[in-house]
Amino acid sequence: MSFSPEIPREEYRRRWQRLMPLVLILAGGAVLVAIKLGQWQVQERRVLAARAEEMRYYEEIIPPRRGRIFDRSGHALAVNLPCFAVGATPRLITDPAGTADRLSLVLNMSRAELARRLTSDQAWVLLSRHVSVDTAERIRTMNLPGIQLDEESRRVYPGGSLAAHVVGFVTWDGVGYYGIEGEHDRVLRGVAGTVIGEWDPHRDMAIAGTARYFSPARDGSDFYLTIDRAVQSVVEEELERGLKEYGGTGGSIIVVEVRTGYILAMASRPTFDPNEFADRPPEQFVNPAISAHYEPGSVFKLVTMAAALDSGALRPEDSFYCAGELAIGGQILRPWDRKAHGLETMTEVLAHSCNVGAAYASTRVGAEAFYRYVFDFGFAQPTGIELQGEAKGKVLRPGEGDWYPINLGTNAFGQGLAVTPLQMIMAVATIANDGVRMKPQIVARVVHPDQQAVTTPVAVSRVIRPAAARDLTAMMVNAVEAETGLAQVPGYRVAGKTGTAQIPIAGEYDPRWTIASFVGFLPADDPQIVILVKIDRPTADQWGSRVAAPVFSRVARRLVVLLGIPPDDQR
Amino acid sequence: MTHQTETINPSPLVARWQWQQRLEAQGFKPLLALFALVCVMCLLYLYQTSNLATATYTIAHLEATRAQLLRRHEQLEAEAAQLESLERVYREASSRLGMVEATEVHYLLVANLPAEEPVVHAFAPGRPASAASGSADSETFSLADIWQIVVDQFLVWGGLPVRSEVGQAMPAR
Repeated sequence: MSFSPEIPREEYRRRWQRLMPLVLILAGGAVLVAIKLGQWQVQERRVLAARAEEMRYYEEIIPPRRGRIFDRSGHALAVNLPCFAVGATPRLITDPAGTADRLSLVLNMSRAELARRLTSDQAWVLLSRHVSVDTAERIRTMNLPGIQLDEESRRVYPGGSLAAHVVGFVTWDGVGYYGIEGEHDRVLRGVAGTVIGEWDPHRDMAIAGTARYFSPARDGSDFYLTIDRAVQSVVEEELERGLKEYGGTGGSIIVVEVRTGYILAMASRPTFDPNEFADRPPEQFVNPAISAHYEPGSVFKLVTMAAALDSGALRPEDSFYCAGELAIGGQILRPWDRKAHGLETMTEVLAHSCNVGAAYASTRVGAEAFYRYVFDFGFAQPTGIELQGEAKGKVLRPGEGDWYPINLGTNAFGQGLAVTPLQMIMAVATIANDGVRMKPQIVARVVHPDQQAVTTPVAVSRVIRPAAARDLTAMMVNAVEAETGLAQVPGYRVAGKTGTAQIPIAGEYDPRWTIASFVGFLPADDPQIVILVKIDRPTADQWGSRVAAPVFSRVARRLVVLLGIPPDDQR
Repeated sequence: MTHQTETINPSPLVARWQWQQRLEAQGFKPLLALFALVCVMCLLYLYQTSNLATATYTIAHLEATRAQLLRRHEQLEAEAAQLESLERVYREASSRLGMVEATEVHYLLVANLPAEEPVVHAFAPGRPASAASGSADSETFSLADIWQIVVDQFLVWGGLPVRSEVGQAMPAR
C-alpha cells in the first residue's frame, strides 16, 4: 500500500479494515513463532544444543603405531604389517547373495558362510580380519553397499620361530604377551590420541577449526635387544641338532657376554612360531631358560668351590681323601659313580666331579657362609632380566622349614635346590668376570619418539675375589682338559663343568631320566662368552659330558668365528 | 450534484516527505557507507570461510595421502624384513651365490695396536665406585679398524698417502 496524500480518509480507513485480519493473523503467527523460538532458545536450549553437538561432534581415536623389536644390529625381529578388517552392516545390504558371491572371490571364505553373516539380524558383523592391503583395495573398488573396511595392523615376525621365547607375541587385539612383547607391552603399545571435533556427515573428515580437544597419538617405542640374530640362529640350529642327535624332550642354550652381562642368545625347545601363536597350547608359552626350575647337579659344584676358595677354607691344591662316602647329619652321601676316588686335590675333586669332595668343601665353608655365597651368586632370587615370567628358584637356608644338615652336603653338588638356567649361567659368568656379578640384560636400547634410553652394563656386586675366580677358572680348565674332551674347542682353552642332574618326582628321583648340562666360557685367560647347554631327558646317553658337552663345543666353535674371538696363540 | 470532499491535511505528510528528501540528500551517505562496510565484511567472512573449507579439504587430502604413504612404508618395511630374514639370506647365499659358512678365521697380528680398553666396573681394584657401570659408547677397535690399519701400512710401504678414518689425507710416515 503506497502512501499518497491524495487518498481520501474514508478509503484509507476502509483499506486498513480489510487488511486488519491479515495483520492480526500474521501478528499472531509471529507471536507463536516467537514463543516457540523462545522455548527452543531459552527453555530447551541446553538439551537441543547438546543433541545438535552430538550429531556433529565426534570423538575420534587415533591409534598409535606399535613399537618394533630389533636385534643388536638393527635387524627386525617384530614389525607391523598394515591390513584391514572387513565388516558389514546387514540392513544396508540390498543384495546379500550377490555381495556374498563377490566377496567370496577375494576373502577366501565360503559363499554360504558369507551369506549367513550378511543376512544376520545384528547391527554389524565382522567378515574377516587381517585382510591384506591389496585385497582391501579390490573390495573397495567393488563399491558394495553396507561393506566397511577398517584399517588395522598385524604383528609380523620375519624370523618365524627365531628367538620366539624372547620376543613373545601379540594377540589379534593388539595385546602383547610373553617375552619382550609382554614385559614391555605398555611401552611398545604407545598411547592412543584423541580428537573431538566437527566431522562431515560421512565421518570422513574433521572440519578445520572445530576441534575442541586434540591430543596426538604417541607411537610405541622401538626396542633394540642385546640378542644377536646370527648368534641366536647358530644356537637354535645346534640345539635342534643336539636334540635330534641325543634325543630329549626339550632343552635350552644361553650365550652371555661375560664383561657386560648382555644376553647374546637365548634359545629353548620346544618352541613356536609367534606368527601362528593361536595354534599353540598356552602351556607352551613358558620360557624354560628363565621360568623352568631344575636341579643343576654337578654344575653347582662351581659355586661350592668358589665359596671354598674365596672364604679361604680350601685351596685348589688342598687334598681330601674320598672313601666313597661321607656322613653328614647322620646320613651318608656317596659319589655318583659309587667309587672311592682316594686322595684327590680340590682341582681333582672338580675334574672327577666328586660329590663327596664337594660335600666336604661345603662343610669346610660352613652352612652360614656357604648359603651366603649361594645367595650372593644370585640364586633363589630373580635376576631382574626384562622378560615376562621369570622364576626365582628355591634354596632352603638353615632354620627354614625343610632344611636339614644333609642339605649342606647335597646342595654342594646341586641336589635339593632349584635354579633356572639363567641363574646358573650368570653365576658362572660371575666366575669368568673375575668375581663380579653382572645383571643379565636383554634390552640394549629403547628408542622413544623423542629420545632414546641406552642400556649400560650393571655390576650387581663382587661375589668372590679376583684371585679366587682365577684359581677356579684354572680348575675348570683342568676339568675340561682332563675329563671332558668333548667340550674342547681347538685353539682355545675352555673353562667349564658338566652336570648330570636327576629329576625329582614325588619325593624321589626319576630312575630313568636326567638333565644333562654343560656350562663353560672361553677363552679361559680372557673370557668373552659363557655358554650354557641344557638337554632335558636325553635318550641316547644320560651324561652331561657326552650329551651337552659336544653341543657346547659345536656352538663355541661357530661363535668364535662369528664373534671374531681370536685363538689363544693369536692374541 | 455537488461533491463534498474531505481532504486530509497535507502538512504532516509533506513534512515527512521533506524529511525523507533531506535524509536522501544528506544522511543516506553514511548509511550507504555503513551498508557497504557490512557487505565488505560479509564478503571477507565468506572468503575466509571458503578458504577454510578449501584448506580443510586440502588438509584432509594430505592426511589421507600421508596415511597411505605411512601404510605403504610399513608394508615395505615388513617386506624388507621378510627379505632380510636369516633363513632367506642363508638360502640365497648358499644356493645362488654358492657361499659356505666360515669355519676358520686367520688373524694377522699387528704390532703396536692400541689394546682394547676393557670394561672396568666399580668392584675392580683401583676403580672409583662412581664408575659402577661402563659406557656403551666406549671406543673399541673393530675388525674394520684393524683392516684399515693393515691397509694403511701397505699404503705407507707403497709411498702412498694414508687416509684416516675421517677421510683426511695423512702424510706417509
